[in-house]
Amino acid sequence: METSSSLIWVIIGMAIVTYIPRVIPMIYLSDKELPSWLNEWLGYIPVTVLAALLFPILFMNDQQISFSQNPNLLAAIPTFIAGFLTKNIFVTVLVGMGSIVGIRLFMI
Amino acid sequence: MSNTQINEHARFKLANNSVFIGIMKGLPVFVGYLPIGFAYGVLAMQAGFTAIETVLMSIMVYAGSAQFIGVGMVAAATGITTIILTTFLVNLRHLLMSASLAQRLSGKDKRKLALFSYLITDESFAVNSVWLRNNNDVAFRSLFSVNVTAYLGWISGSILGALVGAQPINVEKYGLDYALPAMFIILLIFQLENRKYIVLAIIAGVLSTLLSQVLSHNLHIIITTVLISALGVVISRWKPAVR
Repeated sequence: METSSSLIWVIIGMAIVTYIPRVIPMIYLSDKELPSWLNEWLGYIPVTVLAALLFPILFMNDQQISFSQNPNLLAAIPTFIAGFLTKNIFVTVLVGMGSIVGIRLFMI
Repeated sequence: MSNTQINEHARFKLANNSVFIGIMKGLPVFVGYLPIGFAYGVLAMQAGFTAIETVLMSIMVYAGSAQFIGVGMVAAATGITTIILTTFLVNLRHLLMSASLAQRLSGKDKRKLALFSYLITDESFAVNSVWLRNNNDVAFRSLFSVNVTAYLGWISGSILGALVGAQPINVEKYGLDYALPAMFIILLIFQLENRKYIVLAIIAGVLSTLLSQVLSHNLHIIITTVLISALGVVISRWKPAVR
């Protein structure tokens, strides 16, 4: 356990290295004309980054890829349906949390 | 003027207020951040943070997964250099998000953009990207309001977690740990404009899962995003009909 004064430095350090990648492209690219392929590439980032964030969470169970007996993956089914039908973040998060609680109850 | 007329008038004015619209767009993220921020707050307190340190990290770092990892590493007495380097790598994906947003915010005041970019998260980025794509003249103030609303959700959740965190609480029991994947699911659905986007999402998801087996520090996310976005460009050059 670190002492509290060094914890402050951890927080400051984390804040700085988190802010740098957030701010630099915004400042340098906001007034640049980019070639059309690069612009198109940037346009695909929302869909690819979200899929890249999501899938490993769903398919990993106990440090390995798992398709069955995997609560995260099972709960994704009702969550996905709720999201598709309602297009509502709040409802989807609630259905997701409810689903995982229910599934864990039955999968002990 | 009757009461209902006054109400109608007020509602009309509010609906036209760009800040108000942004807050409404950001509100679901605010609510979604409450359980995640709460879970973070509890874990930080259990790791021995004071309440002030717990909330300060949310205010200053404002990056969910990095904060969870950071708390875990502090609890494991990891050295400061390793913690900071890991945080950098885990959050490097924001570079891509910032670049993606920058093109649509050209000509804005740089100081405002610097402040705006401080509040870029996976979720606020996803909401603002869809919004900008569907509506070219969204006011910058509205996008900013989305970011600030989400930020306040994260801080509020962290405060709640810090308040109850002294007692041991099992975040899994209440499904709090699933708020994040559920939020990713709905935000991904928002991005699926046509069949091409669905195909790209599936390929990116599979590749990211496979790469996560061999790479650490979220590098699988960055590499996947770079490669599969490039694949999207290649496909549309190859078959211009598929955009």
